[in-house]
Amino acid sequence: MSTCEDELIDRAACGDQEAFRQIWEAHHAVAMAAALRLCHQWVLAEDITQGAFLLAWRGLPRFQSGSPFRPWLMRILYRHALDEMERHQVYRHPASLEAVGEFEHHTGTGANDRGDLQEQIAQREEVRQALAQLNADQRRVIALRYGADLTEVDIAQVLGWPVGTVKSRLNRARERLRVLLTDERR
Amino acid sequence: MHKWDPVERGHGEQANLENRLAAYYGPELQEQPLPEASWLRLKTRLEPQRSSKRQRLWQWYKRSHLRRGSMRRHIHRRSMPANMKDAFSRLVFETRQMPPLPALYCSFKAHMCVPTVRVSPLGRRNIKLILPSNEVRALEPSELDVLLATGLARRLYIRKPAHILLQLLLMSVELFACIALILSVVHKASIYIFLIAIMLCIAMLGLLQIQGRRRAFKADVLVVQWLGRSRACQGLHALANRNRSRRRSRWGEPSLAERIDRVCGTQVTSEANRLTLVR
Repeated sequence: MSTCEDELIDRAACGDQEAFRQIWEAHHAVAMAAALRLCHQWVLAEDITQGAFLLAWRGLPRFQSGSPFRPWLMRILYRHALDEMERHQVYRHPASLEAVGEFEHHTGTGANDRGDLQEQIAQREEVRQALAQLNADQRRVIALRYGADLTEVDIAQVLGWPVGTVKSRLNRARERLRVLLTDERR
Repeated sequence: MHKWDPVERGHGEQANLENRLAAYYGPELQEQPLPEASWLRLKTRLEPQRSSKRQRLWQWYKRSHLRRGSMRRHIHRRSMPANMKDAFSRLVFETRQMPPLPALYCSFKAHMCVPTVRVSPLGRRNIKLILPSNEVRALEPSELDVLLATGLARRLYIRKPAHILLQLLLMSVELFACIALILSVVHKASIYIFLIAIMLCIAMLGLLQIQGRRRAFKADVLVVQWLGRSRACQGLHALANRNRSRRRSRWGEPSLAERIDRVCGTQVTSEANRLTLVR
């Protein structure tokens, strides 16, 4: 972490909103991308990003000076995102064509024509319905593993669980998903 | 001819699942900048930072109270390590305990593995930290924080009037049942009275046990709010790692494994996240 950012963090921890704005400028786009990838909803992702920065602002006085800022922020973001996604029951609502289109528009990814888009939605729906049938803890590990590309050790750090617990929950979640998705096909 | 191979099929399904999950979440996205309005909305939600004031207040508190010894009176000095005194004073300050300030007493036991904390509603030394005599130096800061915060949180609950009244009521019924039991034995009363008295005794003991466990879980919620969930989990896991019998619980108190399940395996509400996520 640069000395400049250290100074900004120190100033923000003392209540300097301008310093915090510079921190926001430097990190919010990455945080927003991570939140969007997890929840696939632009409005919710923006709320999550704002919420994470608000939590970071409140936690800055206890931030260990000299340690890297972004991993700390991302831990807050992931925890907050998972809590918010469960609160909004993201996995319970099917994605509409418009919502997916909006997501594709913002991210610049996805299918070229409407037919491909509909096929993508159908495939995503199957996975979403399977995810909705997992328990909350299993959804959390799956989201962090595949939606944030975290290792089991990182997931353990984010969720505050032992690594062994993460591994077992991840394995159980995969096994259940495999059964659910296989049943779906039959 | 291709033979049926369940292992190969399992690997195929595993790969298929990985691909589908990867497709569901999609590839890593490029940066997604938000409009200026987003920052302005966030700015309206930023409350004044209290860190510097808080730090100054803590320094002043330490200077004015600790040096004069008024705080130290609440700490049993004999053979208590300095880091414990400091951690306790800091926790008392940060959790804004109301007077009368809690007092910490420390004792050492040879034949124990896991340090524990006991709280008594009476007396000056109402938080008692019991440490294994051969492992005092090895106590990690997170363990110490969890132990002290647990003591403070439980003390808050046992001092509530509703709790004291309920406790008195249960104890009175228990006492009454015991007396009835003794009298029924001495005077050779009807077997029904004897049985009722025994059942009452058992029921009251059960209720006391349940109440103790509920209080411990409620106190753990406070501990999470004070220390942050990650810190609390770290401390509880460190304590649990000292002993393999983490599932053993004492009278009226949940085992470490149960506490870990509750604290680390469940989510606190969004309101509480403000305190729990930021360490």
